[in-house]
Amino acid sequence: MSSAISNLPPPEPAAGFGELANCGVPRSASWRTLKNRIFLGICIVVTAISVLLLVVLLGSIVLQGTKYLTPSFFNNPPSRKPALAGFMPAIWGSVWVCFFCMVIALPMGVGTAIFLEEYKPRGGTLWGGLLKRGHSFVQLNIRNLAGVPSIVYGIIGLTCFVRMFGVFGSPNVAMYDSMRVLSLKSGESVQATLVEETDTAYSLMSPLKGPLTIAKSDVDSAREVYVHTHHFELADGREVEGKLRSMDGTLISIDPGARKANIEFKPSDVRAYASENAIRLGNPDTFFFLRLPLGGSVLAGALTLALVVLPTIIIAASEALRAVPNSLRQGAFALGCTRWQVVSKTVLPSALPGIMTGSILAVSRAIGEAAPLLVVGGFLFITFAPRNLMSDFAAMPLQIYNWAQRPQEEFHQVAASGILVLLSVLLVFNFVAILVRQLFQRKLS
Amino acid sequence: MNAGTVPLHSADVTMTEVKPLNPIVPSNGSTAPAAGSGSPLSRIAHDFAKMRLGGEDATTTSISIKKFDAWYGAFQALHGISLDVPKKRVTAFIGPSGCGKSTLLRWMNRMNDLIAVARCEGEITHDGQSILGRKIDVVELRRKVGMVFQKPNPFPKSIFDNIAFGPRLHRRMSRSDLDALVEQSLRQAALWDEVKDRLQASALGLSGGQQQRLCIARAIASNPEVVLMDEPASALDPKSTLRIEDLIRELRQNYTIVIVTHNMQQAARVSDQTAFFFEGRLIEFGPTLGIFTNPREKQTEDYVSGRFG
Repeated sequence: MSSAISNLPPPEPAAGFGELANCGVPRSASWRTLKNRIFLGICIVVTAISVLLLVVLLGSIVLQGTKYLTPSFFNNPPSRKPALAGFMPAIWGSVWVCFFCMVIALPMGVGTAIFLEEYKPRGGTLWGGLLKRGHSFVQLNIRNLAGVPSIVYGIIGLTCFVRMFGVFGSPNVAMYDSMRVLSLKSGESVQATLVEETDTAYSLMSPLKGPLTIAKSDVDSAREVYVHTHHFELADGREVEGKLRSMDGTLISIDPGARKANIEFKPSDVRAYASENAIRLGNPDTFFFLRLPLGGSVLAGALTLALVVLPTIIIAASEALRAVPNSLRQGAFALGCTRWQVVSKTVLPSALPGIMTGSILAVSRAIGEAAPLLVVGGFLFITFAPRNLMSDFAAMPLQIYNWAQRPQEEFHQVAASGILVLLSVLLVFNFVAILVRQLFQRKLS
Repeated sequence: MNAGTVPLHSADVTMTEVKPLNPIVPSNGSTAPAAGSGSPLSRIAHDFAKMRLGGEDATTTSISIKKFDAWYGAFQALHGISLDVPKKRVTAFIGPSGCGKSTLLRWMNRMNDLIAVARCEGEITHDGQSILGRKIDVVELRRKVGMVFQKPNPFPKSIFDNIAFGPRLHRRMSRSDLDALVEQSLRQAALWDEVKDRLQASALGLSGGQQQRLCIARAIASNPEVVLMDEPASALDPKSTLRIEDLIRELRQNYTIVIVTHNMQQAARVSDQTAFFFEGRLIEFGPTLGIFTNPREKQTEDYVSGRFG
C-alpha cells in the first residue's frame, strides 16, 4: 500500500510515436471531398422526392376535395347522392371512439410505464434477478407489440370485446341466426328500426317520428326481410325504402297477406341484440349504458383501439420517465419521500410533457386507424352520432374507405373531402402536442 | 492509487481564488508561527480551530458507527469502520476517489437502499437508535438525517415549492406557518435576500451556487438533526464554494453536519473533525487541526500534504 503512495517517476514517451502515425499512404483529399458531396446530393434528392410526393398528394386531395367541403358535409349523414353525402356520423363516431380509447389507454399505459420504470426490480438477490429477467421480458414484448399490425388487434377485439368469447351469447354479428320471426297483422304495432339500404351497406334511417305504415311487403322470412329492400310509406306520406328491424333485435317479417301495418318507430333506437343471454345494465338513454357482449359498439371499438395504442403510450411514457434525471429521485428520497411520493410529486410532473406528447401522437394514430374498426364492426354505416357506449358507430377512415371504393367519380371527391377533414384533425392534434410540450417546458424551466 | 493531480490542482485553484475573499479566516501572518508544519493547509486548519465556537469542549455523539463493513456485490467498499460523529459539529470525510467515504455517508441515511447490490454489516446508531435493519422507518430517518448532493438537484418547481416540499411531506401546516418556515429556511441558507421577490419563479432559473443553497435550505426545512453533504461544492465555482462554506459554518450551530469533500482546504476550513479514508479503511480520525498539522499516520500526512491524489 505504501508503494502506491510513493512518488512514481513520470512515464517515458513511447519510442517512435510520431513515426507510427505517419505510416501508410495518405488518402486522396479530392476523393474524400467528392464522396462528401455525393452523399449530400443523395440526401437532397431523397428529401426532395418525399417532399414532392407529399405536395402532389396533398395538392390532388385539396383539388378534389374542396368541391364537397360544404357546411352540409359536416351536418349530413352519408347518402346515396354525393351532393347530400355527409361526414357527421363518422366525425362523431371517431370522436367518441378516440375519446374513450384515450380514457382507457392513457391511465393504463402511463400506469404500466410507471410500474416498469419506477418500480423495476433492482436485481441483486436470486429472486430479484428472476424479477429482473421478467421485467426485461415484459419490456421486450411491449416493444414487439408496438410493431404488431393493427388488424391483429382488430381480431383480438372481435373475440374479446365484441363477442366476449361467446360467454354472454352471440352479439349482433351472429344475431341474424337467432331471430324470431314476427308476424304482423294489419294495424298491429311494434317498436322497430328502419334500416335503409345504401349501395353497399345498411344504415339506420335518420330520426323519424310517428307510426310507420308499411305500404308494401313481399317477404315472409326474417332473413329475407334483411336482405331485400322494402318500400315503406310513412305515416306522414313520405315513401322510403328500407328494412325493418325491431327494438329487441328481431327482424320484422311481414305476412304477405298483410298489406299494411302500423309500426311505432323510435328514433333513439339502438341496434338491439337478440341473444337470450345478453346482459343489459342501465338505461339506453344514458351514455354509460352497458350491454354484454359489447357487440360492434363504441366501447368495443374504443377498447380495441386502446389495445392498438397502448404499446405506443407505454413506450413514450417509459422514455419520458427515463429522461427524468436520477438526481431528482435521489433528492426526493433524501427528503423522506416514499416511492409513490417520489413518483407523484417529482418524477411524473417532470415527465408530463413527454407523456402528453406521446399520448397525443397515439390519439392521432388511433383516429386514423381503419383496419381494427373494420373487423370490430364499424363497417355498418349509420346516420346518427353515437348516443351511448353501446351505439353503433361510423369512423372517418371507414367512411372514407367506403366512399373511395364506390364506382362513381363524385364519391371519390367526397372521399377527398373526408380525407381533408381527417388530415385537419390530425394536424390539430399534432399542433396541440407541440403546444402542450412547449407550455410545460416553459413552466418547468 | 495514483488519482493524478486533480484534487491537488483544484485545491490550488480554490486556494488562490478563495483566500483573499474569505472574511472569516484571518490573514496568514497572524497565525503562521503557531501552525505545526507551516503549510498553507495547516494554517487554515489552525485559523479555523482558533475562531471556532466552543473550541474542543466535550460533545455528545450524534451518529455512532461501529465495526461497519459495506459491500457492493462481492466488492467490499468499507472495512470495519468505527467512528463517532459529534453533535452540532462539522465532520469531514476526506480521501481519494473510491475510498468509501461517500458509501459511508449514503449508509447514514440509508440512501444505499436504492442500490440493489449494496449491503452492510456492523452497526450505525443515531441518538442511540440503530438505523440499520428492515424495520427502521427510512422515511422518518431521512427526515432526521437530510442530505445534500454533489450536483444541485432542485425540483422543477417554484422556489417556494422546493423548500416547502419536505415540510409538506411530513406535516400538515397552515399557509402562514409554511410561509414563515420557507422564509426561515431560506434565511438560514443565506438565500432569502436573493430570492424573496421571486419565490414563485422556477428554481431552475437560479445559478448553480444558488441552486445548491436552495438544496441546503430544502434539506433543513424539514428540521433535520443531521445534514449529510456529499461534495456539496465540487460542482460550483470558487465564489459559490466560499458561500457554501460560510453557510456550513453557520449551520454548525444548529445541525450536525457530515461533509464528504475532495478539497482538503475545504475540510480544513469548515470541519471540526476530519476522517481520512483510504481503500475502504478509516486511516485516521480526529480533530481537524490535528489531522492537518500533526497527522499520526504516514498515509494521512502524504495525502494532506498533496503527495498523492
